[in-house]
Amino acid sequence: MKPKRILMAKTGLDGHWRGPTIVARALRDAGFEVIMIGMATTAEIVAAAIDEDVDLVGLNIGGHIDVALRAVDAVQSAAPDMPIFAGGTIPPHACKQLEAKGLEVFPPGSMLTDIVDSANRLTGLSPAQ
Amino acid sequence: MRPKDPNDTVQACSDIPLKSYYTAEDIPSSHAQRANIAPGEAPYHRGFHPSGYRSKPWRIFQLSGFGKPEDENERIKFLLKNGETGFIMEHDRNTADHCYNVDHPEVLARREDVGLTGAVMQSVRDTAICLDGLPMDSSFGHAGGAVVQHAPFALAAYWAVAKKRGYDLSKLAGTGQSDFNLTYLGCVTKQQIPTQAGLRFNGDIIEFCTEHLPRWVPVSIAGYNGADTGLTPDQELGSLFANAVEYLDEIKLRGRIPLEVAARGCGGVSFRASIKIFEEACKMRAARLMWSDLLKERYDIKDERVANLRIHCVTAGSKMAYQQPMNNLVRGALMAVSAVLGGVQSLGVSGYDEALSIPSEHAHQMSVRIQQILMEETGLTDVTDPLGGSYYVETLTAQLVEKSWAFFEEIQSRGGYLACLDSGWLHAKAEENQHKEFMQTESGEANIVGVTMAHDDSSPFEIDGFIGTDDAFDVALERLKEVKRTRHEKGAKTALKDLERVCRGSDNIMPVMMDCLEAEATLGEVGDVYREVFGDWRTPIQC
Amino acid sequence: MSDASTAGREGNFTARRSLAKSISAIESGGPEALAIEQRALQKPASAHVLGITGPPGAGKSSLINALLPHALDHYGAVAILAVDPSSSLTGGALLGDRVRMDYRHFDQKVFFRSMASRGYQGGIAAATRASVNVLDAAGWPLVIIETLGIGQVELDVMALADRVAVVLNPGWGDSFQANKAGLTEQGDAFVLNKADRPGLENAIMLLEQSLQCLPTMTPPAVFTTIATDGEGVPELWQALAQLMQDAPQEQQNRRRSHAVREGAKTQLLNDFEAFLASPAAASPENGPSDSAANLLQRFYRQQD
Repeated sequence: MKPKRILMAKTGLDGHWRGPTIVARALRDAGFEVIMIGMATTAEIVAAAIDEDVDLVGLNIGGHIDVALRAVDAVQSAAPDMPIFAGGTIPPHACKQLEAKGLEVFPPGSMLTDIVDSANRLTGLSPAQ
Repeated sequence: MRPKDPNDTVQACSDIPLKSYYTAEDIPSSHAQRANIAPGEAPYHRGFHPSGYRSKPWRIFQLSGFGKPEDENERIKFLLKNGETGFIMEHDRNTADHCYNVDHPEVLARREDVGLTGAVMQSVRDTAICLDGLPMDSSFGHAGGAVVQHAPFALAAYWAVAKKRGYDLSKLAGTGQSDFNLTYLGCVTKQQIPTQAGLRFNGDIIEFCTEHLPRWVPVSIAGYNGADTGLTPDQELGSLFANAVEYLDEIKLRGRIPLEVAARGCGGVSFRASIKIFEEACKMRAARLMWSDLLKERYDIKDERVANLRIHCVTAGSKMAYQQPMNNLVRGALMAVSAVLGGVQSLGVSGYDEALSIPSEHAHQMSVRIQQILMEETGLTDVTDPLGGSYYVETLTAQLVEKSWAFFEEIQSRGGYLACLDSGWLHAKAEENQHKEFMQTESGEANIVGVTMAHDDSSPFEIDGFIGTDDAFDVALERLKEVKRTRHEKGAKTALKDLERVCRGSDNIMPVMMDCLEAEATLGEVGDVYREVFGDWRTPIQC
Repeated sequence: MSDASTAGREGNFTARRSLAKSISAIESGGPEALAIEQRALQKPASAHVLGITGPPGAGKSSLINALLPHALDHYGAVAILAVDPSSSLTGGALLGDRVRMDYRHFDQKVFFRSMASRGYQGGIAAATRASVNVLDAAGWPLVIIETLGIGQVELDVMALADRVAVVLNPGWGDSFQANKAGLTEQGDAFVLNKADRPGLENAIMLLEQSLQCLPTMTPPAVFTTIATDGEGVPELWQALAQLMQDAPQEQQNRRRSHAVREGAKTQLLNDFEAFLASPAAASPENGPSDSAANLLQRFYRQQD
C-alpha cells in the first residue's frame, strides 16, 4: 500500500511550532508522507494542495476563524473531493463553523491517536465511521 | 502522575529522581552550608531582601491588550482599577513581530487576525493613544517589544510619548523585554533579523538605558518562552544564564560601560511558573543562587547589589486546558503559589480561557483576584522563603543548580546560546521533551484532569473564546494612511535614512530610533530598513 | 508555454491537477505509471534538467530558492522535484523542502513537488525519472531535481540531469567524503554554500585539490554562496545557465534512452513477477532438481 500524502499548513502568522511538529511526527510515524509548508496564505495552501496532489489537507488554526474559513472554502472549491482536518487553538464557536463545512476538528487536548485515526479514515486507509 | 508501584522511580521534570521522603542527609554537602544562611545573604537563594514581601509585595503584572490602541488602553485601565500594580503593553503580533504595517501582503492576507493578540501600533500616535491617561510616571510600565527586532521601535515609542508628556526619562521606571527565546525559539516568525543583529540591538538598548534611563530595565530574558516550548526547568535555567552571558560578554567587548552597571540591568528576568509546585519554587531559588555565583566567578563582580535578581513570572499558558476551563482557575492559583513560594518580584497569571483565546475581561479580572487572595488572605507574605530548610527543597534546589550548570556548560561548549539557536540545537532539545511529554499523556502515564480523565460529556463548554474587536484592521489602515498623509514627510524620510546609516554602522541605534518615532516614521518602514540591511535569519527548523 | 503552467489562473485548476495526478500515478507504480511515461517519451525532449545534490544541511533548498528568480527570468517557468528520505521503520516521511521556498516567487510559473524516496536507494525517488519526462512533455522548460542529501552514493541524478551542481559547506572535508562518493568525478559545478562559516579558505583549497586529480581537461568551477542573503547567487546562476546551454545534445538523448531502458526493465520485472505468481512457474517435475535456467526457460516460453 503506497503511503498517503498529507499537507500541513498554518493559516495564521503565528510561529508556534510545538503543536504542528508533534502532529506531523505522529503522522509520519503512522506511515504518512507529511508535506509541511508552514505559515501560508490561502492561495499558497491551494497551490500546494493541488501541485502536491495530497490525499488530505491539515490546517493548524489559531486566531480569527474567518482567515481559516477562507482557506477551507478555497480548497473545497479547487478540489471538492479533498478532505480537510484542522487543529489548534480553536474556540467552540469556531469548531462548530468548521464542522459545518465538513471538517474534523481537533482543539487542544486532542489525543494524537484520534488525529492519526482520523487521518487513516479520511485518506481511505481505514473504513469511514 | 502517580507511579503504579510506590517503589517505582518518580522523576522531577528536570529528570531528577525524587525520593519518597527526604532527610538532612540528602542535602548535598556542597549546598548544606548554604542551606543554613538567612535571606539577604549571598548566594541569595533564600531571597535578596530579608523582609521579603512584608516590605514589598510582588507586582501584579498582567499581559494585556488587543484591537485598536484605545481598546488596549481600556483593558489596561480595567486591570489597574481591579488592582494590578503595573501594566504591560501587548502589541499585535502580525505587525509587531514582523515589523510590518497592516498593508503588507502577509498581513492583508490575514486581516481578521490583526488586533487579536495585541493592539496595532504603527506609529508614535498609536502608542500615545494606548498610553492615554496611564500613570507612566508613578506606575511601572512594560513597553512591549518582547520581540527582539521590534524592541527598539517599541521602547522608543514609549519613551517618545513620555518625553512629550514632560516626564523626565532619567526618572522613568519600567521595563523592556527583547527576548530571544520568544521568536527565535518558541514562536518562530516567518522572517526576522539574524541573531547577531539582535545582539547588537540589545547591547545598544542596555548602553542607552545606562546613560539615559537608569531606572529602566533594558532587556528581560524570558525563560518562559523556552520552557513553554519544551525546555525542562534545568534547561530553562541553563539557557537563561547562557543568554545572560551573551549580553554581558557583548558589553564587556564594547568596553563603554562598567560591567556591574550592565549586569544590574540584566538582572531583571522572567520565568515560567509551571504546575509542579515544589520544583518550580526550587527553580526560582536556584536562579538567584546561579546569578550570584555567575557574577562573582565569571565576571568578578563584587558589588553585592548587582546580585539582586528580580524575577517576573508568568504561569504556564500551555498547562491551561481547553476542556473544563474553570479548572484553570485552580491551576492558575497553584502555579501562582509556587511562584510566590519561590519569592518572585512580579507575577502574571494566565487567564482561565488561555487555551481558547486571549483573556476576556472576566478571565483577566480573575487573574488579578487570584493574586490578591494570595497576597491578602493566605499568610504567604508573612515569612520570607518559607520553604527554606526543607530537606526536600534544599536538596532539589542543589540538584537543580548542578544540572542547570551542566546544561549551561553544554551550551557554552557548542558556541554559546546564540549559536545553539542558530544551529537548531535548542529547538531539538525542546522537541525531544515535547515528544516525551505528549507520549506520557497519550499513554496514560501522566494525567490531565478533564482532558485524559474525569471527562465531562454532558455539557460542552462553559465559556467561549474572546474575540476582541472587529475593526482593528480597518482603523489601523486608515490611521496608517493618515500618518503618512499628515506627517512631515521630509523629516520622516531623513530619519529613516539616518536609521539605515546607523544600522550599517556601529553607532547606538536608540537615538536615531527616537528620532524616527518622533518624526512619525512607521513600523513597516523601520522593518523595511532592517530587511534591507540585515537580511533574514536562517531558520534552523521546518515550521 | 503549455497548458500545464498557464492553468491555475483564474481558478482553473484542471490541467494543473491533471499534471499533479499523473505524477501521483507514477509514484504508485504499476502499468499505468509505465504507460504515462511511455506516452511522455513520445514527445521530443526539450527541457533542461539541473540536479542539485550534496549532504544534508548543505542548504540545497535555500540555494534553489535563491536561484529561482534568476531561473524564472531565464526560462519563464520552472518545475522542482525535491526528494526527502522515507522512514525505513514506518514508511512515512517529513517532506520539508517546500517550506524553504519563498512562495512569493511561485505564481503558477513554478511547479514544486515534494517526493519521498520510498526506500529507493540512489538519492532520488523511483518516480523521479518518469516525473521529469512527464514535466518535459508538459512543456516545462527547466526541471530542477533536489536529491535526498544522504551524502554517500547518490548518483542516480546523473543519469537524469543535463548538469549537476554539488553543494557543500566549509568544513566539508571533515564529514563528507565527496571524492569517495564519486561526486567529484561527476559534478559539473561545485558550490560552497554558507560561505560565511569558518573554514572557507580551507574548504576551497581542499575542493580544488580533489578536482585537480580528475583526468578531465579543465576541472569544474567552484563557487561560493550565501544562499540566504543571495551572495554569489547571480554569478552561480550565470554559470549554471551557460553549462546547461552547452550541455551536449547526447546527454538529452542518453537521458531518453535511459528512460526507455529503465521502463523496459520495470516492465520485464513486472512480467516476471506476474509469471512467478502464475501456475506456469511451477516445475513440471515438482522436484529439487529445478534450476534458474529451467525457470527462465519456462518464462520465455510463456511470453511467446
